[in-house]
Amino acid sequence: MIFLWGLLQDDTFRSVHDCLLRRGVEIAFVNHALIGRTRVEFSSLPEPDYRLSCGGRVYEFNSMSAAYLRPYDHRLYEDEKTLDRKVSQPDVVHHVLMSWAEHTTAMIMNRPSAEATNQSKLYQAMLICRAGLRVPASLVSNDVAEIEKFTAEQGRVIYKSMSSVRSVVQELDIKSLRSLGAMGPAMFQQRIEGRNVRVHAVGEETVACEIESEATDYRYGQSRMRPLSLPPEVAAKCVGVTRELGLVLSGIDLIETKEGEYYCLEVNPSPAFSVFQRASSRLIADLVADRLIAG
Amino acid sequence: MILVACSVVDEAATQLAEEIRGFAAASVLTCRDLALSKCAIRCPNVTDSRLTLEGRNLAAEEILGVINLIPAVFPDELYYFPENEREYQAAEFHALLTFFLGALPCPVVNRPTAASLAGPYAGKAAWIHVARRLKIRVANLHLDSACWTMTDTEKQTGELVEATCLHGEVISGSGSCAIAACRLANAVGVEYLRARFSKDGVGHALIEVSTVPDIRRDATRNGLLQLCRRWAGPQ
Repeated sequence: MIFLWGLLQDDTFRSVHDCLLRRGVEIAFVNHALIGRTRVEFSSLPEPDYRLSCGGRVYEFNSMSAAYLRPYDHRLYEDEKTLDRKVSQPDVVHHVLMSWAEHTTAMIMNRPSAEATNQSKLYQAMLICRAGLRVPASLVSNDVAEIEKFTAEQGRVIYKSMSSVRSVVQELDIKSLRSLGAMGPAMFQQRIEGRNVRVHAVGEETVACEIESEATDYRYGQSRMRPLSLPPEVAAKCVGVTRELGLVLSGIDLIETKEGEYYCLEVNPSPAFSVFQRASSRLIADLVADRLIAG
Repeated sequence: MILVACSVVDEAATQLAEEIRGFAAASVLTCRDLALSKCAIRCPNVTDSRLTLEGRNLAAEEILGVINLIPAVFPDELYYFPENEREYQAAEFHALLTFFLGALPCPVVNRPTAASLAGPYAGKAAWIHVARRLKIRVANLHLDSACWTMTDTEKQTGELVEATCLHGEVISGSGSCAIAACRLANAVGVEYLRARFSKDGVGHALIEVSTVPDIRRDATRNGLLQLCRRWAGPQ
């Protein structure tokens, strides 16, 4: 049985859910929005054992061969009473289920420790470097002189969040920096100019598309996507970085420079691939389903 | 320079830094230092980074070792940011410390991982799995999201025993518990690990593990001071 935890309103999650159903696979779908009414139990003896109950159904987790997890911030659908508590019942459900996902022998897409690499973009960059992909130079600073020096070294510079909290990537206007006054440390990064490429890696397979956009952050501007065939050595590095990060499924943001060099901006461990799927020659959901079924 | 990474309200950490100063240059490192004093942290070349600590400009390559006492960055601690920004800033500082302490080439006790600032795991159930893999006996724990108010430790009725391992050596506890603590530390690659066991008719069984050095305990503080002396080298 394959465990699916997410929201059917999420196109990416739905595409995997529907794909598995079409293939007649036995699934255990638990609606993440019902986390407030989900109960999870863990027993350490005689063997570590997890049980989940929701909506009158009970699932024994030792019977799961694989799982696809796309949980959301549960505070989005919690009531005010729960939000007041330091540790809420949904926190505990999340915590215990993630413990199962981390340690089970089932095939998990993706394990929590691997997903967590995205919580620090610079930590992730360190791992990306180890896998042999180039990363842009970055500076975290609150020192205007250092930021000016970095900008002089790198040419064009963007700024964005260091954590997984989503931020709109923007280009730094160095002239306005001194007028900001005191500021906390912020992350500045060499702006790599070239073609935006998004690669989805599922195990050993890759699906790529190129994105044409004038915007600094293509997620927030007009863009056109087209399927793309990656050079084999780049595809191999994308598979390698996915493995290095401990992931099975990844969404890798690359930029190909005019000189044909590839820089890795970020690896998304829970990619919303439905947007890119339309521009990709192969259905990513099918690859995800294949991998989940293979266990 | 030896750094003690800690919360801004951790007086024991300040005291530990003071004790280290008896034989080596030392300073505490807090999120407040990173927020309010000049810093420039570089990636991928972290050794080119610079910090300002206690008014002194410090190059990352001068850092001989770090004792990391920060399990997580809490929004309430970031009082110097507007209240509505603190949760975001806590995530940002967590991300920054994960990279900086994770990437420094010097020893870090304990080095952060993506999953936790204090090592590989934060939850009880995770350590049960690690212990089971190592064939270390575990206590009968039951976690239930429907009744989370009473902790499992409170439910344990047998005698509680602790053992602590630092840099591959037992610094507190003895016998099978001490061996088990060192095996757990070795299995997950952490320098410091404290394990609690309950004793029943059969023997000892693991209840929980902590990977944040408890410097209020003499054995831990003394063990860390000894380790810092090694980092500092011959006097």
